[in-house]
Amino acid sequence: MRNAWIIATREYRQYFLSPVAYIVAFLILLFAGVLFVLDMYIVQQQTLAAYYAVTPPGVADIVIFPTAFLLLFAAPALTMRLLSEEHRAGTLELLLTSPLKDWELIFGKWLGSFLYLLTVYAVTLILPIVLNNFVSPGIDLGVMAAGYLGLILLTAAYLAIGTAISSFFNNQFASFFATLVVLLVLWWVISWPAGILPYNAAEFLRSLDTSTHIDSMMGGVITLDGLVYYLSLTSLGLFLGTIAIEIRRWR
Amino acid sequence: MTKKRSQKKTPSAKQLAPIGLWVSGVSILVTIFLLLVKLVIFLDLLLLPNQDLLNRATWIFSGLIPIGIAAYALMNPDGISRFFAGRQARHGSNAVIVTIAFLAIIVVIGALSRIANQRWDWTADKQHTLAPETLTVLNALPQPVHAIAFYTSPTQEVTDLLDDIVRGSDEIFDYEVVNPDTNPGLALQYEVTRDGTIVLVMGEQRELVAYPTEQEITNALIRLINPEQRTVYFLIGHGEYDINQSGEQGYASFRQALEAKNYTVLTLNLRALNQIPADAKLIVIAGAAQPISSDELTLIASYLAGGGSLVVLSEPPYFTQTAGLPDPLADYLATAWNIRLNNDVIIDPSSNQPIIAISNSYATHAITENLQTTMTYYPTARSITVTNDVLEVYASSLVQTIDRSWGETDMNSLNSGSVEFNANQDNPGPTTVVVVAENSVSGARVIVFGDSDFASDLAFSDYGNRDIALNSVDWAAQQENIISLTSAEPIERSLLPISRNSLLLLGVAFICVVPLLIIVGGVASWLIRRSQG
Repeated sequence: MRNAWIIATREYRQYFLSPVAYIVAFLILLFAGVLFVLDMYIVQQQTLAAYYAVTPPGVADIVIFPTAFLLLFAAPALTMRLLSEEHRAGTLELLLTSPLKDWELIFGKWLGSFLYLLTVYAVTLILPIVLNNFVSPGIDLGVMAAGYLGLILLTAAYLAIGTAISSFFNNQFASFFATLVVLLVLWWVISWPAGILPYNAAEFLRSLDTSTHIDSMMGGVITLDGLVYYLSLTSLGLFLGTIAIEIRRWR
Repeated sequence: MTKKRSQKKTPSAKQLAPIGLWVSGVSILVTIFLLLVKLVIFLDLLLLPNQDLLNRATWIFSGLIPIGIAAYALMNPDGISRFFAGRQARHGSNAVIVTIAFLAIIVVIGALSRIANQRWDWTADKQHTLAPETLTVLNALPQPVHAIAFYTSPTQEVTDLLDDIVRGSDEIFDYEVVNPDTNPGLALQYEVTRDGTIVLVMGEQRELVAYPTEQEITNALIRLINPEQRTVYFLIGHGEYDINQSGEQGYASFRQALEAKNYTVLTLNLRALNQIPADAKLIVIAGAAQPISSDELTLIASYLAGGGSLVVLSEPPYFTQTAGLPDPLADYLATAWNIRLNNDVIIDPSSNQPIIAISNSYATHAITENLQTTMTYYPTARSITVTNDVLEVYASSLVQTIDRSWGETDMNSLNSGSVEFNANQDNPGPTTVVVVAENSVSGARVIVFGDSDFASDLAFSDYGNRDIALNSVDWAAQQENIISLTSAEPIERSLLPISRNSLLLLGVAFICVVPLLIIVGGVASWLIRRSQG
């Protein structure tokens, strides 16, 4: 566990030297900022036209949803390097011969990227705090907390998938595109057939869709199957990554 | 460790292992067959009496597939390793087995979490939690209730609500979603004509919920628990609309819609019967072409004095050729119910045919609650004036036409087709088409429409006509909300006015400054790294 933490902090520091990480943070904050100001502007126009009270923009609309969407591209970009790069540079051999367990390597790599995104999310908290000052009697903190919890779980799952795929490939661009495809399938493609399938089959497909569960969390409802889904996906990613490293070890 | 030991000491486990493979092989075949049967049923080519059994069997057999493989893997890991890894070392077989076991655990936990169906409502005003009244009603259900939700695409809101109700009822309430497009037979069987209707079935009884909100479903459940005969009488003998006839002069659609809502719909000939049946919840006078006689009116008046209900669907005298004749019913409504029927025809210049009055302006009332901005239209209507002569009666205007419309009193101009508004003789707009009134002493309820054509077969299913007709009957028969829910009032959150300057400040801060800081940080780190080599 200590080894995992050492790996995690090393990766975490690495991100602050990497242009990709800055681009990801820049895009997340820019998207959220633009949507926030735009929503406020549109609502302001309505206020001039009508006399009734206007519903304020929700935290889910201005921060959670756009960030979850950007994450489809940000997660592969942040994780593509994690193990592919070690392999390309030949440093993976060193890591594998060190007294480091395979799961510690994968978990540490994943934790580093996870902590980095958590840092970015902490910065986005400025938006709800500012929004709170413009809403009477304040924004619904429960809904905000549920939304952020959903986003954090989604992030954990995406990064775990990215970490696993990065351990499959030697080329970081291959891992980027493979991860992107997997995430797009899980976010979007998987529920395509739901419209033509019988209700139960459609429900089954929707329960495998990453967007379904975060939708209910953005509305302020935490579901047990949502929690289990994201945690299972995360553990599956970390597990497959560990197995892939193990296979490399005896190949 | 224990696995290895048992494998060495009991070679019989290895011999038994193929049974696992056989079990999963047979299960795969059975599952494929069952799925094919399900497909055939889904395509409406076959109808099974017990769908549940089929579903359960499919689940069991599809569950047996991984169990069989897992059993084989546990009893004979070498076999699996030989199958997957060939000449690979032992590591390979372990990896495969562990992966399969891990996937199995994930699938099982996932399935269990879906069955447990637990959720937590974090909203401050508990928007997604059932009201205590609903829970009380659910606990009082004497036998299982099955809900069929007819939706082409169910909204998250509705499925969430139904899931909540299932949870709150300890599974005595269950539901299925049926697509009326792919399963029109079932929709026809339950007399569902609108997408987004829920039918609640308890034993032989059923209730239709047209606008599925928690309030509506709870009230429908109460009606299921306390079934009572609800009889509506349509007066006949004066050239009224015929409830048994379809087409232009018929009210057959109206009658069918009422029957789908568990009303018993009968005709009433007061001249022959000379009394009002004791089970009458409501009397409807639908477009009488001749005036009601004063004898009949005496019966109706005494029925109302005893707390009865009356819906009058009137027509302009100009169109029933009764202009100038005495109308005892109109006199009675004016003197006893504060409702004055005007001898005019509403002209609506916004309509293609100006004698069709269009409205989407409704008072806040149980009848018009669901209509919101859906319009209703009234071909050849007369306007109604609300007075306040009788103290114990509260009459109020329910539906109004647009401001530019008016009640034309000059019938000659109608004949010549050159109507225009004369401020000194016509009734100025907005005119009232529907009035609701309640007597606070007797509890009697009266609704008067200035039109009866809107509920005929030709217009009944258009726009909001059906809703206003059915809701009126519900309200008059005192069948509207039996209880109202005391769920937590939603907290109204509103945006405070923002000045242009602060909006500008927000824009500069969040679109320029914050992202720029990130870029500066990135460039700085790049420069530092470069300088360090």
